[in-house]
Amino acid sequence: MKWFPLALFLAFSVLNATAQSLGFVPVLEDEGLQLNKDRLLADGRSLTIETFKFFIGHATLFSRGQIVFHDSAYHLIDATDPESLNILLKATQKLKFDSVSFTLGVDSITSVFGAFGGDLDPTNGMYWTWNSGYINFKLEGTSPVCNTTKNAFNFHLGGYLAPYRSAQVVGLRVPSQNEVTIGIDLSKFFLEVDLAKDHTIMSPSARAVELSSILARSFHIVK
Amino acid sequence: MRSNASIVVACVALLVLCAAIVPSSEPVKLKYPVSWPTPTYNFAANPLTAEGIALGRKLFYDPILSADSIVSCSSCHLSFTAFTHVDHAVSHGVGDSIGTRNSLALMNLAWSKRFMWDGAVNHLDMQALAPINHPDELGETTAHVVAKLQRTSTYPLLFEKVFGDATITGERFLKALSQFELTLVSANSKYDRVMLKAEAFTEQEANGYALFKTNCNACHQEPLFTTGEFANNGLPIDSVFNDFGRMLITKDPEDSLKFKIPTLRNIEFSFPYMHDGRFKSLRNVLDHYGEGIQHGPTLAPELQKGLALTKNQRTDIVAFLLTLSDREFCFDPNFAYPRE
Repeated sequence: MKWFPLALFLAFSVLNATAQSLGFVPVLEDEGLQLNKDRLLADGRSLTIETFKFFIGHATLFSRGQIVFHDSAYHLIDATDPESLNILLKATQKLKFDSVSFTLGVDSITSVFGAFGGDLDPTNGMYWTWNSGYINFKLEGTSPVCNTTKNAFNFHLGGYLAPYRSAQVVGLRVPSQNEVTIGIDLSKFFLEVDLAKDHTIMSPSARAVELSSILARSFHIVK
Repeated sequence: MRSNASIVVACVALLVLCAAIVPSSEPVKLKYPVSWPTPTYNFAANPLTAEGIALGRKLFYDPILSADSIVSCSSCHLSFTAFTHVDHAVSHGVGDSIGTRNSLALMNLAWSKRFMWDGAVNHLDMQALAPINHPDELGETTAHVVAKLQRTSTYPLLFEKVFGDATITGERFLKALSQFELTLVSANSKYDRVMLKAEAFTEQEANGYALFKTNCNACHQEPLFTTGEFANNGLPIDSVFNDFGRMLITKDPEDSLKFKIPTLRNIEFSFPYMHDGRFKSLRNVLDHYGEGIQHGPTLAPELQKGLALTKNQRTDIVAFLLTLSDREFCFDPNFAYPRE
């Protein structure tokens, strides 16, 4: 029975842990994003978003510039899976913090490490098979303005090698509280993109890096 | 009631601890010559076990990996010919579809840094994704292969033996394949025995070796007979495939027409040669390095003047190259189709 005190201690630690949640809310022009639903944008373009998935990783909480919490894990956020929109950061104590940062996409070290399971499992449709590397951000849908097969647009943004590294670091100031809700507003993305000409990215490129950086600036604190 | 609850919690915690401690399978250490460099593969992230290697071998030979249940990894990587698709310029896959490149011979993969002719794949674990998902190779999706494996009566048990539970994931599937592929070490050719002073070269082979060291060793470096890098070896571009090699991956014009420098081990068995299988014999290859070099901005500096070799010297080099054949490797029963 010499394990007993240790087991009790472990059990107690688990029960005593505090979860800090980071919630993500996809937004398009001040409305919650709905998949597979036709939307008319303010500029008159209509579009339907069918797939909206991205990786976030290295969630870090800061207090006055000092790191108070870091989670090296990656999380796949998928608009079709409501549970994935809420990330729980398991801290051992209640944290006070004033800002949060995370990477949008998978960093270079992780990209060359080999196979991972869970959210990074290559069966999740977020890994290129012909050219190693994660798809950091996937946005697919249709718009009548796209002169493509079935009017489809496909943005598969990724790339981990210079000069086309597309993973981005996002930093946001937050009011110190338990629930942090982060919006990602796709309006900026669609303002930048002329879907008639700019509708398909499926490999690492300079444009993929540009669009990733626009997306990184589309995150904001909702509450 | 309260103390009962804490005992239950404690027992659960104890079980979790035990599960983490008990090893599920028999560890295996990769065998290779002491004089060789340290492998680049990170074994800590995928420790070799007898059960893992056996599972990887079964998967390697199983056509369940393809859309038509006919093609397997071994279709293009035959053990008897150093794991390549011998006598085919470029390889073919499901529905008799023809690819654009000559399948590479598989050996000494624990030392490889990048995979495929253009280095598109950055890790051995990720290599299998390319042929599985290619419409002209296995024509599948990884997720569907994993689902098919999970539905069989055999695989869940085998995965459980290796990974502790019967859930098959992309990660586990790829790591099992890697385990088998990592064991494909070829280090017992006549050349290796000569280096160990257990055997001697003939005069012709010795001449060939001396010529090899001055003319070929810069790229086909011993003991692996490759630097693992990419080079433009002066092949005129094939007008059918229009294949620019590594540039298609990096989009860097400096990588135009560069292809992986393949190992020369077991080169006797892996004909035809080059990324598009354009040369049928080793003599053709040496004649290319003699008179066939096409100049261009990315041509390897070592080949700027071609290789000035007489006919006899070329014959001697070929004689040396044949000493790199490792018959024990090609006919190793541990690498062949697993009969149950």
